[in-house]
Amino acid sequence: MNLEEQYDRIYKYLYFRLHDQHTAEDLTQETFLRFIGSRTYQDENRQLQYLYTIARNLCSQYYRDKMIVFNIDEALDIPQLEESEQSLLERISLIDALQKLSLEEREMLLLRYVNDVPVPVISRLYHISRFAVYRRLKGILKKVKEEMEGENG
Amino acid sequence: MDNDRIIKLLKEICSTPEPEEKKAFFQGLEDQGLISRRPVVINHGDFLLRQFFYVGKWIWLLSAVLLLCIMGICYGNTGNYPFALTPLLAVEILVETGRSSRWKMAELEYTARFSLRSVMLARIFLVGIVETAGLLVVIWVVRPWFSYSLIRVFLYMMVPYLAASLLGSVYERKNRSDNNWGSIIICFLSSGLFAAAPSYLSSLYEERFTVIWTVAFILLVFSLVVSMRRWICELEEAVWN
Repeated sequence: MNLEEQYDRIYKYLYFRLHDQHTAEDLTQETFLRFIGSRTYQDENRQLQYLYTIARNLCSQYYRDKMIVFNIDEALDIPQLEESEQSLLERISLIDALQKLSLEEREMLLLRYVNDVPVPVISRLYHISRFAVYRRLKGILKKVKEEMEGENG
Repeated sequence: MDNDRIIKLLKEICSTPEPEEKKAFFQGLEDQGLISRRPVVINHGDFLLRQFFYVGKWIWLLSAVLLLCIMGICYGNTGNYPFALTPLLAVEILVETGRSSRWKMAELEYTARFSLRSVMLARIFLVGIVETAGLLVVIWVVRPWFSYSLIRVFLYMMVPYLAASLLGSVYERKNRSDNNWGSIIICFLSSGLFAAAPSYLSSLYEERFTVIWTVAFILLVFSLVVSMRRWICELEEAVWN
């Protein structure tokens, strides 16, 4: 596992949960320090899952300490003006559709399709079977699609 | 719109500012010689030993106090009442297994490294084995204070303990909650039931019923193994967050 490559992904994951560059970077570094600080391991294949679990726990801890409520509007990239109208509309309807998902559903989409986390790792992260991960992702995409199509008429 | 388009859009809207301190962080790790330091794989013995120290101190303390109480009551020669105390030992196993649900954060990190199944199995195994060993020592010590044979004292002590463990584990499996009050009540009820049993079933501890106690013991061991196995299997499907 390439730590530098994973740094970017963990940072991205935390950024979308915190929407604060410096806090995301601080927690990313804390994640890696904790990961390196743990001397023992039983299964080498679980390292990626372990990294994400530490990041997720640090994030939840941060929310709890600061009493922050996650606002996806702030986290997602605001469409740029120079883009085509169709693309802008699609982006806005996707953001709206994502807002209607639960935090866990959004997190699963982010992990799988933005951070390219393998399905077996996600299944261990959520303590569900690989089949269940596939089924949930399919269901979430379907939900997003229906929302987007509903909004666009 | 197809799924590929949604995924492409998702990647586009999820752009992030570049991390500013990445290079300095990895340089710092390298300077301190930490970059090559990765978690190492440990064997099962080390894993069990770590779990042993992870089990709450009060669990061991309470077990010791309970076992001493059983011995003290046996020494006081108060009839069959000591046998009714063994279900309380099961409380500690059930409470220890419930700790994972109560302390979600640390446990999640821990189980990310070692898998939930192995952590739970190790804890149940450790607490169960230490308590059973303690109970066997108590049985051996208190046997001369009873008019029963060693095997009968063993059965009278073990059957209530196993019955409470079985009922508690079934309850925990069916009702996953953040506390263990249900199974704690079950253990106390089992204890009360076995304490009250001689008053309405005076022949319960007679020698002619030894076969029934033996059958009950075998059935309970078998059921407990089946119940624990199912419990552990179901844990794999539990969604913790």
